[in-house]
Amino acid sequence: MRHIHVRQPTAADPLADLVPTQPPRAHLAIIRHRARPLAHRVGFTRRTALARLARLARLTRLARLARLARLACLFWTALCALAPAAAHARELLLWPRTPTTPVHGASAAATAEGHQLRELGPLRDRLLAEAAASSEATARTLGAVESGLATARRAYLEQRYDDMIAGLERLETDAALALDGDPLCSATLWDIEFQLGLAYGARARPGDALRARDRYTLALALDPQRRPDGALYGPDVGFAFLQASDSQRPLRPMRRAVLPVDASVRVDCRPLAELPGLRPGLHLLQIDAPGHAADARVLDLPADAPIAATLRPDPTDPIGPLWVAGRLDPAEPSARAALRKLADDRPILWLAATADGHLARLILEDGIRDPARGDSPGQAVTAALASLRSSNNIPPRPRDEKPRNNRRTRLWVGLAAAAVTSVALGLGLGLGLRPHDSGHLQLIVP
Amino acid sequence: MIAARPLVLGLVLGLAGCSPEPTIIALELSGDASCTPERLGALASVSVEVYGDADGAPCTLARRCVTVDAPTELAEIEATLRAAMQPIVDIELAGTRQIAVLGHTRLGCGEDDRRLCGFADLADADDELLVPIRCDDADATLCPLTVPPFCP
Repeated sequence: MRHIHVRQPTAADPLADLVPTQPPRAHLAIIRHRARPLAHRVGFTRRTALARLARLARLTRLARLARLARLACLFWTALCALAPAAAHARELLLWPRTPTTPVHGASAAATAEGHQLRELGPLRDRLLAEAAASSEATARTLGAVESGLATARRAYLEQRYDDMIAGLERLETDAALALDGDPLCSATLWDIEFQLGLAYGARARPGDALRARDRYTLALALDPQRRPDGALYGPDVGFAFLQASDSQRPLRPMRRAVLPVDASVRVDCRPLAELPGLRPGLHLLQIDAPGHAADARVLDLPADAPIAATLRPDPTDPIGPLWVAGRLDPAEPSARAALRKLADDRPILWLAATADGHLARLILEDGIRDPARGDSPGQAVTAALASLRSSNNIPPRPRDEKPRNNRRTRLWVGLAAAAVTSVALGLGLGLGLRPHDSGHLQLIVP
Repeated sequence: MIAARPLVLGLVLGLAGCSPEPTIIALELSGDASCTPERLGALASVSVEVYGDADGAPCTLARRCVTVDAPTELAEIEATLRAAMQPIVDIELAGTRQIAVLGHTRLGCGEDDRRLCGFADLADADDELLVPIRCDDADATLCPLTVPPFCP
């Protein structure tokens, strides 16, 4: 049986005292593979060992810096990879056409497209409060008109015609402003204009007969079917009204010169666009645009003169009443500007319900996109956001398609490009010398 | 030849852009209770007119006159216009503002005989343009006695 003898060291390791007295720091582990055990070096002294340790510490700092740089590179690479997705994703403000417009499924559709929809939230409350305040103001005005008309009738009976005229003119101004687009506009203004005609007719100063006829004519324009109550006002007033009707001048085509150009123009309580023409004479004019101070007045419109007005921009103009009434149209620049201002210039997703489905429009920094339709709000939103996706995610052309290192192909491409350019230049010059054709208008009866 | 494709495409598009498509608007007439068979029956001709403006004043850019044969309803006038050579009016788009459809009691669409009229703003047209038509009655003259002169 053989015994294996393990030789014991004869003496303690002579370099054992060279082990540093301080406990090793954790970062030394990083460079463990670099150094053989210090005790195995030949001619190792305490001083050289300390110098080595200092060098190792410097190397450790460098290694830490390298690690930080590597982490920064990784972060940058990840950022570059995620950048297109971040640019594509948007936070959109969902703006229904009216407070009751259905929006179900819109948020889910936007999320599916990688976007986030935000509700109007406090803005909705603000718009509703504006609409409520406007309704209250209109109700107050109608109440004031009612009592004002009663006062005017009393003044008529007491033959105080100047008081009657002054009071009615104040009512006319207030009612014209408050009842723009209101269904009670024509009926209320008819009452005021008729009473004014009555007052001028009864006062009978020089020129009053003409003024009375003009007011009766305006009342006729406001409501062509309505006539004064003969039993109440007697045959003379009825006859004067008929005379005004007979003396009506023919309709003339009317031009508008209103700024902003998309302002809503109502003449005699009806949209100007619906009128076949206007007769020269007195007319009630009501002009309004979102973000602008409304203008309403009775004016004497001469023949062949355009309806001219310039609305003053008013940043405090409330759009709540227009929103609640469904009269905000983002296709109009003034409305769009007001919407974007309230949305703090964030992108807006406009959602409307139509007779044949739902309609969504994107209002972005560069303007409004074409409407997208769908059978549900979600479908319309998906269709609208698809246009955003298609414009943002244009896939890059693969590099393989580009011809490389093929001189013959490049030569042919160059020659073809030169030939095409020559033809294009020739045609361009030739066509440019022709008279400019701005397009034709063709009217048909299908 | 790959690089030449965009050039050829641009050339084709450029050539296509040199000949703009005409703006075609289909007229549709809508009447009200004022157009009774008696009043319509008095008409002998109907004109379709296009108004523009010259230096801020309205003027007539085009007038097409079609003879009608004692129509009793507006649909007959529309049918007569439909039977006429299309397009009813073909003019340069620039400067056009309004459309007028006027009915005359005499042939030739002259002056002082308008008993039917309808006006519409071209800005309201969206492929189709609805022209609301009214007819004159004995009590109230609705239709214009004069229309804008022809543009210079």
